[in-house]
Amino acid sequence: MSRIGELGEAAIAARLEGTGLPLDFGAARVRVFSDHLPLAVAMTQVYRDYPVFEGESAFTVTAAVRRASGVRRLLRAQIRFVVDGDAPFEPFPAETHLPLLEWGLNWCIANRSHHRLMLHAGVVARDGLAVLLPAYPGSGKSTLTAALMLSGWRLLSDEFGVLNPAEPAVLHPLLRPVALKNESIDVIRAMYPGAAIGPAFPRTRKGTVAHIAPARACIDSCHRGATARLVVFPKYDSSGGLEIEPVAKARAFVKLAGNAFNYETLGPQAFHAVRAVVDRCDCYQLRYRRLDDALAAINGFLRGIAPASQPLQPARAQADGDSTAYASQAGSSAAAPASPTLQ
Amino acid sequence: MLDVREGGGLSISRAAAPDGAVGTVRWGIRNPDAACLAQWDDEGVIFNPLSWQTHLLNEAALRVLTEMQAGPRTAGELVAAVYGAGQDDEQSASRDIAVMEALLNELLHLGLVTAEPAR
Amino acid sequence: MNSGVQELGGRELAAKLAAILAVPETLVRMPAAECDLLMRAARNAKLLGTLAHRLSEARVESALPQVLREQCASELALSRHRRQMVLWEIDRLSRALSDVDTPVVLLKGAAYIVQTLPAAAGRMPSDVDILVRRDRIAEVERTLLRKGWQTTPMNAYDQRYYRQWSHEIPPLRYGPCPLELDVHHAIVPPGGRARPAASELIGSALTVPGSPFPVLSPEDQTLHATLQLFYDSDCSNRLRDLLDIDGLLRTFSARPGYWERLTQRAGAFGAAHSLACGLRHTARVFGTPIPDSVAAAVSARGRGWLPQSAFDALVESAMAPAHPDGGAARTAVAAAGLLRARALCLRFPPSVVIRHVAARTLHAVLKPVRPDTEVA
Repeated sequence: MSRIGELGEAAIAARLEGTGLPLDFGAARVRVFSDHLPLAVAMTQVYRDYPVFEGESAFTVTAAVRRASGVRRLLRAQIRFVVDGDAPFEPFPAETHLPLLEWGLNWCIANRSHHRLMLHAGVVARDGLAVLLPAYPGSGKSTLTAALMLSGWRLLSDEFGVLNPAEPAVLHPLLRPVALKNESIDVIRAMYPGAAIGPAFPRTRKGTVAHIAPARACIDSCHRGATARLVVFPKYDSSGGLEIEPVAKARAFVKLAGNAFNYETLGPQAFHAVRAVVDRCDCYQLRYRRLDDALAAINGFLRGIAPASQPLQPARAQADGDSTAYASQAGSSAAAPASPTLQ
Repeated sequence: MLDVREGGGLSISRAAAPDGAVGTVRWGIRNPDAACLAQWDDEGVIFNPLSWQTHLLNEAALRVLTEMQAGPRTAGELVAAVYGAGQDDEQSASRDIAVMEALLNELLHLGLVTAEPAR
Repeated sequence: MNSGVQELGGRELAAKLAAILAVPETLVRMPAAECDLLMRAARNAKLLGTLAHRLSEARVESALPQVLREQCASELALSRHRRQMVLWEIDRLSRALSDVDTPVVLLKGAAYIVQTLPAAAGRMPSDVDILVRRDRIAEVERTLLRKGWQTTPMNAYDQRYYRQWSHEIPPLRYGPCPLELDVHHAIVPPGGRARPAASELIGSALTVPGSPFPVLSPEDQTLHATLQLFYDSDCSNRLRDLLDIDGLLRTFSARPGYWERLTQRAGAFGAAHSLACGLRHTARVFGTPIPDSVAAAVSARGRGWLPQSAFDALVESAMAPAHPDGGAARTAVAAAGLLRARALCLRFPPSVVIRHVAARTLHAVLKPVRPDTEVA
């Protein structure tokens, strides 16, 4: 099976202009068109390990990033995101092509996925057990999700926790390039010099944005679910140390439901699905300053050990690359913190 | 998006009592088969089948709704269930009922409960 | 992009959509590429929810490619939520207006829902429409504002436009509810050729079991739908509205005396031309069974100032959905433009039309760029 990176920019550009480029994310499959060559170049990098496949002709979304025509074009080159003949957003400057595609595709997928409960969270897994990292402003969720993937966890999604309401114990991959913003680009580059980070796009609405090409193993597992086991609400705090607190179930319910994309749309199904997640998962809030502290804590959670809080002490933590079996914790009440055994 | 009230949930606040004679109205959960209540320790959430919204409940509201799951109750019966029976001080008893009715009217406004005249 | 199906024009797309709506099995027998295209076209035409419902009723959705089956399930979930929002708004309205002693009649989508019409399934209502007497509308508006509804923000020109020229007050919205509430005192803008008297409409309203508010009589619901489409709109991408009319006709024609009342009422209201258009176009597109005598009788009463063939060509062009891989065809855009001008002329004296169009253009230029849809 050939991969997008192997085909090269010219071939990918030809597909984008011709029959379209199909991409499989797991819970969604899209087809992309574009007449903008710089986008083809960026996509070849950031989607490099996604397989090239023929013969698919039904898609969740068919979308295009096209150069905008009209008077404006003479003054400043612009591009539009077009889906099914409609351009739902204002044009972007032509140099912000990949962020426009990524945001546009996310928006379309979210609007077409009401057969699933779509939590706003990063999702990673180890040995079939999944950790949900709900997204909140200031959570550092994307940086944390990226670091987890780069340290050996399987990434299911950096944005969407996808649940089938009929089977809410299982999270399904919606595997997209991992978006990093501003300082986290440099943090990840420093920690993981080998990470495949695509071009940086300055001056977007969210600052500077770059994308990590997901690991090949994650892409190849994008149709394999993982059982929900842990919910960790991350909170990046540059002034503090490491603090771990169990989160009461009712609060966890509110926080998960409150930041889902379509909780209210699904009504009773959503209620039962979130309840099932909260009942079966241990829920923690994790305040952290150092990324490797957070990684160690999450690794520890899944082993059934909750590391004790460590205010203002740098921890000698290394990201854990093992895939040993993890003891499952019975019961719905939060585990009491044991003595610290940070790796 | 959840309807999470200030203070984290529906609570019994010292609001003005509504008009109407006390104890002549029975309050029940509207559409009890479709309303879903989930409880962990002394907090809970309830799904409102009319609005499809979900509300966070604190201990008092949780006990009121749990009590109503067994069937319609008057405000007085709910006060007894939540606070315990036997208020010997008549003034505080009627104050408790007034506060309870304020909460019940809030639930009525949300479409969670109904108020029927007692027979 | 060179498969034959990709070159379909608007009219052919409309015909194909009508065919798969009528016989959903035909969709699942098509190759995946054609299924995909038609579902995208259906989505554009706001018909995807109805298509999904019909596929489900025919029990054939499992034969679709998985990603398309999932899109159908997604649309149905969305439609269920919208339906519940309508019921919630109706419930809240019944409590809010309980001490206003005046009839309140449900219109359009909300009415279809409380009547559980087949046409209601898979629809995506975005508002709730009610009809009240003109002399009570101010009181109704005040009551609603007092009980928690809010006016949607709009500039002073639009406010004046609504109150002076339109048949409804500016839309209201109750906080967390995603639907708007439109309170009407007539079913068409006043001052035009069609004059359905609100008092007659309200007087003939029928109660519906389980609904706190009555709905218009079947013939008045039909006329409302045809007037909305052929008297008060530019028909642009309005296949959805035409399908609604088809649904109403099919359901209500089973009731004895419906055709006679419909014809008579259309004449009394000056709505025969719109009805005649409605009957012609639903029959053309959706094959609605209409007795010849009825078509003839209605058509005899309704003559517009455009030659019928010219008018029909404009309608057909404007109404067709755009091809999902291109924008609207230039001819469709032009046709819609002409029909929009016609609708404005029907509504206003000429001097007001010019001011209206000019003011709106000015506002469009000066208005800040619309905010980006917030994405993750």
